[in-house]
Amino acid sequence: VIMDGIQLEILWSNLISVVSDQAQALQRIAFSPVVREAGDLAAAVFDTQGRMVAQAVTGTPGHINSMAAAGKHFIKRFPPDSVVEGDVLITNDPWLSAGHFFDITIMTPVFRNGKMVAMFGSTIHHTDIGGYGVGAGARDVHEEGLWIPLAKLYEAGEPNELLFDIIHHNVRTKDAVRGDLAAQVSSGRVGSDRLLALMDRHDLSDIDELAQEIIERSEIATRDSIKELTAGTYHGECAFDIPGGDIIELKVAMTVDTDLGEILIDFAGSSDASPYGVNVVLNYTHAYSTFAVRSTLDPDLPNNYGSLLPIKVTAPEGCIVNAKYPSPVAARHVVGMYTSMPILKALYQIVPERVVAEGSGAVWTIQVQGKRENGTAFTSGMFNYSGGMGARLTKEGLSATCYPTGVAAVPVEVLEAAMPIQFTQKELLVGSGGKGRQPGGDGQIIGFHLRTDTPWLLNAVPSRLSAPAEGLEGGGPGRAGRFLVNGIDSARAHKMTMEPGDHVTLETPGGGGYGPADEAAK
Amino acid sequence: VIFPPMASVLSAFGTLVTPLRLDLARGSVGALDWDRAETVISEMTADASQALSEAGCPVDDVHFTYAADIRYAGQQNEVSVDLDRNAVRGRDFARIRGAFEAAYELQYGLRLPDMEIEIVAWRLSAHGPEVQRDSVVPLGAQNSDPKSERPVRLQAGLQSVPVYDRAPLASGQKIAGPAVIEERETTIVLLPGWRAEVNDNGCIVARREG
Repeated sequence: VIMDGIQLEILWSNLISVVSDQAQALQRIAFSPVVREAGDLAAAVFDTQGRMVAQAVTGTPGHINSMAAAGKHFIKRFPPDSVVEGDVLITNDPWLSAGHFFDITIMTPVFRNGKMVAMFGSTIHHTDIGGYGVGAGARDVHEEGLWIPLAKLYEAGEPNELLFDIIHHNVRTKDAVRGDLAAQVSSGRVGSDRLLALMDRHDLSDIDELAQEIIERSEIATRDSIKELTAGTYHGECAFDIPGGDIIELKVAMTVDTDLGEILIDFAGSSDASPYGVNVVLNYTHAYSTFAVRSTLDPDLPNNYGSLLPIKVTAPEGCIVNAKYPSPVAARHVVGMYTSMPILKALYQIVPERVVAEGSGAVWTIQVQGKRENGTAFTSGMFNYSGGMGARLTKEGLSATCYPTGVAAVPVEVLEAAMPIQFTQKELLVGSGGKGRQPGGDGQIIGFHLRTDTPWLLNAVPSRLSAPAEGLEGGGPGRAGRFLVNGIDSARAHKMTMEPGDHVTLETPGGGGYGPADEAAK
Repeated sequence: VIFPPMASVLSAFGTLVTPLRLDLARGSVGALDWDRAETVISEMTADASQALSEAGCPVDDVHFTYAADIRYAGQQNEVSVDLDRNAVRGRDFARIRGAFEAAYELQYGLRLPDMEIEIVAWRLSAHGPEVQRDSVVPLGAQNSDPKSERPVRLQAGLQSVPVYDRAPLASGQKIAGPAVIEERETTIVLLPGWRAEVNDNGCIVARREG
């Protein structure tokens, strides 16, 4: 039976509610602030071939599109005839999923009448995974913590006690990791229950036809929107500094094939892999590259296997955006979130009215470890702050808002309740956005210290301290960021040992402006 | 589909015939303190009794139900769990935990047996008695005819459709769609393929045929 448009639309919006319920359950019962407050999570439903069909409208491209790539690895390792009802699958393999150990992906196969009909997946950033922590200082991937291969976390409903034991013994925040894993497992069940109810309502014995229809239509629509562009190869470049001061260059050659309706993005010529943990696996590069293209060309189309397929991403092996084992990758977002910038510059040459000027790029992530005043040790989860977004042709850049990621800031009150930290300020840095006909978004200034009387550790991952965001079409650059300890510029790649009274100030970078400023005065 | 009489966006009549009810909650931060729990539950009981009595409800007719907002330590969202008053009076933590985990499992599919739980708030609901009421609206003595006809654009095109006044419809009267039934508060549009019947309460019950 071929579905008619109305039936498909009803099933599609039902499917979106199913994955939204899955995501909301996850966010409600998660333990780590970055999941429940900042929405650093992804939730989606996959078909039995491991193709992502629908995703919850939440989370970050880094998670959702990397998880989309993980689907096929799960199916390859655990084909439908090798799983039974009650199995739950897991991995945090950077090269198979979201690019660093912190992101654990959980897949829950769904069964109907004894047959696997779908999988619900979720990826979240966990508070800790042992090893080095949320920073760039590890020298290889093994120093970064626990590597969980593709495995069964539950077998026929029974927890894999050995695997749980290994995980609990290898993380600093056992309760939070255990609670967050349970939240992922629960959300998979919530998704499964809702999907089975949907299948009952519509009398479906499987979702293969529905999945095929959605994926095919999304693919055709994406190819059609690419066919409307002007064919050719367009180049874009972006330079920025990482913790420690090294300058990273990303170069893309973006080939638009209007016959096939495909875009090929090649990162040849970009910097080599770094000795620091800022290297990016190709999955994650693909995630942010496709996001840059899709958010520019057709943001309203569903994001799934079909709409991602026509956008192909390559990079030379061993380059910083196609890092190979054993490169360290823990702070891969620093470089990964910049992969959109050169692509936007290439897109500017064909659709200038739709692109965003360069912005602050990656969010600045922070993690602290130390002792509370009562002497007990604590390790915080990651928390993050963004700079300004680049301006658009007809609108100014958003202040203190990240692009391309969609992760929110954890409220300071929540952080102060969770750990002995005290914030002294959090204000917009007015005027830090680039000047322009449309000015870039402003960065922000944030100050904090710890309430402790013993030395503590700080993992901070700032960027754009020396190479600010460029403006577009004559717009001015944003202001570079500053990272200060007790008023002195102090950024470095490695984890820092801090004294009890030390005060940290973050001044996040501004976004670039769009169009010359003097036109605004006319 | 049931269309009650006098239905509207907000029913003034409904507020008059709904039993009185007052929900109260008091926060419970930090480690579980049974003495404080007793105090806040007693306070809430007194406050609610007084409020319902001021609203004209005899104190002897009020009954109370109890609940607590509970979560696993480290979470930020709670599950509201109905509790037996004796579980708090008897300081029966195992029973409270059992009730929480059953509710949690129902909602999220699993339990975390060796994780601490936290009681974040105590809740109390005070319920007044059922309000007696007669059949709501006088109904017509015999089936009534349409008062007029009106053109209505249906899927098949423009069509002349009978319009009924709701008030004189009789109990048991049947109307086949398409039809329009007008009432001061609400207009009912009965589509083709639907059949409506007026029941003893004055509700109009519409069913799709076939």
